[in-house]
Amino acid sequence: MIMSSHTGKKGRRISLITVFSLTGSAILALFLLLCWLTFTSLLDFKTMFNDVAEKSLPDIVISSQLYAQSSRLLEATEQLSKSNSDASKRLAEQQIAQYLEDLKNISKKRFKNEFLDLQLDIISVEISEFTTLIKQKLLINQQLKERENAMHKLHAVALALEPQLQTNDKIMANYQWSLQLSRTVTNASRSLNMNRLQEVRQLFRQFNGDIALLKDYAQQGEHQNQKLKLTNNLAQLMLQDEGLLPLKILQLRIDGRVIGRENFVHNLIQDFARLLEYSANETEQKVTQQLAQTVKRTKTESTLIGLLLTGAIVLLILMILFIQKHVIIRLQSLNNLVKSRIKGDDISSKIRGNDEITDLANTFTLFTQTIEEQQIKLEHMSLSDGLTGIANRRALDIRLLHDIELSIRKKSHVAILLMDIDCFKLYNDNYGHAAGDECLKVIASCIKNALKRSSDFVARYGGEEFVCVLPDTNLVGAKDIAEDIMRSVQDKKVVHKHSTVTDFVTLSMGIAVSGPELVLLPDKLLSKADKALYIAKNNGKNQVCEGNNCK
Amino acid sequence: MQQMSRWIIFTLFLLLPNQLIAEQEKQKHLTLIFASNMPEIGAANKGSYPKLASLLEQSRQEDEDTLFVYGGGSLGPSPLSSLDRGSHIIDILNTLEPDLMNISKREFSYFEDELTLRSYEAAFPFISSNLYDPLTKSNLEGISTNIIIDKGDLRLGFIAILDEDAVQEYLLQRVRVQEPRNLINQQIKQLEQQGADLIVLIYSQEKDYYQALLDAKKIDFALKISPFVDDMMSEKLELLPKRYTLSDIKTTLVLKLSWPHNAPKNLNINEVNLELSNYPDSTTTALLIEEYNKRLNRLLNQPIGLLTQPMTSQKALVRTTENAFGNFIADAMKEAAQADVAIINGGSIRGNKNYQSNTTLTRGDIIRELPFRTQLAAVSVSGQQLWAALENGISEVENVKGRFLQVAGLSLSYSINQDIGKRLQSVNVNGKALELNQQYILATTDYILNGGDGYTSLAGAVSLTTSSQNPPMLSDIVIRAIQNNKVINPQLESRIVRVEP
Repeated sequence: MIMSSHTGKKGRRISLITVFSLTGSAILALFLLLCWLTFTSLLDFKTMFNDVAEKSLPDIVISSQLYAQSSRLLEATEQLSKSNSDASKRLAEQQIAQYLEDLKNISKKRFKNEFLDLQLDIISVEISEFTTLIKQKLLINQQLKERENAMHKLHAVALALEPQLQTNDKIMANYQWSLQLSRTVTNASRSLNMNRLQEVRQLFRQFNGDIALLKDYAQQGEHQNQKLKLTNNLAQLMLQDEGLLPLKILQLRIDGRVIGRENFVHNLIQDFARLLEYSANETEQKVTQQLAQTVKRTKTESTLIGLLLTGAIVLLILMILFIQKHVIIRLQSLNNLVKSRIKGDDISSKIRGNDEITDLANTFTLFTQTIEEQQIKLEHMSLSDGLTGIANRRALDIRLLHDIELSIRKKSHVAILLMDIDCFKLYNDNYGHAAGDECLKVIASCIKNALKRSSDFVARYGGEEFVCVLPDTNLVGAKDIAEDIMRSVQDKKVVHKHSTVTDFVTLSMGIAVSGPELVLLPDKLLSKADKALYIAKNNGKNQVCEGNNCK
Repeated sequence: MQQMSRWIIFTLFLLLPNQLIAEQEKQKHLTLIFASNMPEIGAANKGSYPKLASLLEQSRQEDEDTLFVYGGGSLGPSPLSSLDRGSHIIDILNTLEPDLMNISKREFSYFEDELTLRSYEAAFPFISSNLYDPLTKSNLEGISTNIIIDKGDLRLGFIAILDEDAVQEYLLQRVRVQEPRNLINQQIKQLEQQGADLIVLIYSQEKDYYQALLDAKKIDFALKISPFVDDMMSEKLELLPKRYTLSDIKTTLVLKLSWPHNAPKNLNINEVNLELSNYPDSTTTALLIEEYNKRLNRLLNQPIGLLTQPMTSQKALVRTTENAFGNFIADAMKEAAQADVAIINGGSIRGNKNYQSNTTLTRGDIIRELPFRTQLAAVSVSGQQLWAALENGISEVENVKGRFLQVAGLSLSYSINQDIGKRLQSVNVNGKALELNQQYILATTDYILNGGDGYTSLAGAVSLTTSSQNPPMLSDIVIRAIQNNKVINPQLESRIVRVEP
């Protein structure tokens, strides 16, 4: 019998639906998570690349442009400070204006209210002031040149007086003036190459003395007026507000200031460039950091994705194994079970567990039990004996009644033979039930074969008892047929070593007849035959009896 | 009789000035004006260039033979100098027309080459007698070793001695400052050979043999610039014979030199009692300075952020205790270099100023606080090196020295009662005790890294500056940090704790 859940030990119920929906949802969730992670990872990368491409890279490019432009500006400033003519100054100025403009335009793209922006404005103001200074310097240089030329002209005029003086007696007095003038002019020329203020000042003081001396000498000899005038001119040329010596002092100051200012502007631009670098570095660092972070995050995400994937696969394999073990194998065994049951084998194996399959198995068990019960019922309802294939008791009842009623109408005889296999219990006990069944089949066919007429009828009366209904047969006829049957069984020689009669299976038989002289209804007739059989058994078996007469 | 005596008195009265004049004619004279230590040109400063200019003007009018010796100590540090490396001082001095300028330590605030550049801007000579530049195999380019100034009939020879500790203090990489003893004798000989009547020594650090030279009249007198930068200490100046001393608070002095004709060695010197503040401002110089101030303001007045609580950068505090502003600077450095820890010497912070809460900080404030153009440096150092550096930082705390440190990323406790070199009690980096064998990333300045202020333990540290680019300046980093934060409120966080076991 299939063990049912009702009879077996009941484990905790693990519903397949729960298992499948749980593992299925878990796997689905894992795969969804995987998808989401991969997607966000990609999105992350995309955002970062966008950021780098749209912000940081242009930022760095602009920074380097600014950097390049500021070094060009630096060069141009240097050129400006070195310019010694208006033309070169103008050229440098133009270039600076251009570079500044470019710088401003580029920086607009990058800075928003940052102080670098302001720094650029300051640079531009500083440069414009510097340009003014250069202008001043050039003007002074030019004025100095003019004074120098004027001085040399004056010197030439003074010396031109010489030839006339040469013939003069008072040669000494005249030479004194021109010599002193030459000395003075030489000193003044020397001053032009000086680069120390105090030296120029010293010369200044000396010059005052020189002029006084010249004025003295001028009042001697010839051309006194001319000489005095020249002396005064020289004094004026040298000493007046825009004279050579004050101009020289101014030049020294301005030159120093120009170098200082150039260095300053230079440093300012360099500082600007340095800040640019710093700011570009900040961007670069930010990008690097961002990249590093993204890479790190992606790494963790990849690991996570890998883990999740492995987890999902493991879960999937486990689920497959589970299905294999708990579903397929069990379904197979259920199938085998069903097949065996169909074959009619009695099977003691069972489907373990507590789930839908056990439910199915239980249902199947119930179903087969019902079928078996119904089969028995059906057999009961049928007219032939399942084992021997001859008619059964029910058919016998119907036939016997029919034949007796027919004999009453026809006023004819009906005989019945009630047979019992001798010592059949011993046979069964010694040869087994299967052999017993086989024996029953053989005897049944012997009986059947011994009957000659088609109207003769044999049925299994129950157990090892058989009944033959013989219509239109009187006692004599019945005895003949009984003899035939006995012979037929004897001829078959079915071995029965344990029989108390012979070594072969034998029959005992009781005959009863219903005729017009004495009509016996089926019950009476069978009872009469049974009495005769009883007598035959008691009389030593393996014989036929009618009433009290045995043969 | 009475009338007679009146006459006599009258005659004497008439004669006296004549006699005096005659005496004076025989007596030669010269005015020497000595000034120094005026790095700031702003109005609120101790030295005043416009007043000095009018003093000079007046003196030059009164005495044609006026000698103006500038003692230096002015090219840095100052906010404007941090931008133009002292060019503006030279420009102003060019209007004052010094006869010479001495080189002092501060002239090296922006290193050797910048000083050479300044010498070309100057229309007066720079003097330093004991500098040696291996590049030129003699003095630093643009600087004279000695000089003879002719004033009237007098030839004055000048020798100027630079303090030897300039090399260490200003981290001079190239030039050497030589011990002056032999050099001075050489220079004296040389100057005498060139016909110097008087020999003047300009110096700052006293040497025991100076007195002997002065006594022997090898040197006729000396002009001294007090080496003390500390105001409190410069008031306790010793009075030494034949030395005329300037300091950070006394920036100008006037000497009246007189000597009998042809005997300049019999020199008589009178120091004129001078109240510079009584002099008017010289218009030319004042205008020039105003222009510079205008430019300075243009450059520095840009607001960069708001300070929401009081803060101080007083010298005595930043050089002895943990300072909130110092913490901010160190934090900014640590972040900029992405370092584990940051160290800065208190001597880098120069503002010496108290800030009220809700002050809008300007670029100028930071430039004033950090006027040296020191740059950020990032290095990998061992815990051992870091420990030694920290020990150095607290080794002279009682002397209020610039080496006292301000830190970020670490906290330390020390005891002043312990011997120097054993003062550190504990050091924590990011909450964990310092591991002597572990490597740390340290953010600091190039000054400290090069062994400035005695931070020699960091020598040989592996630089982590990746790019070949210029490292940013400390001031830029702090300015950027304030700009990025917009509002700052630096805190004391017990990073440096003094314990008394």
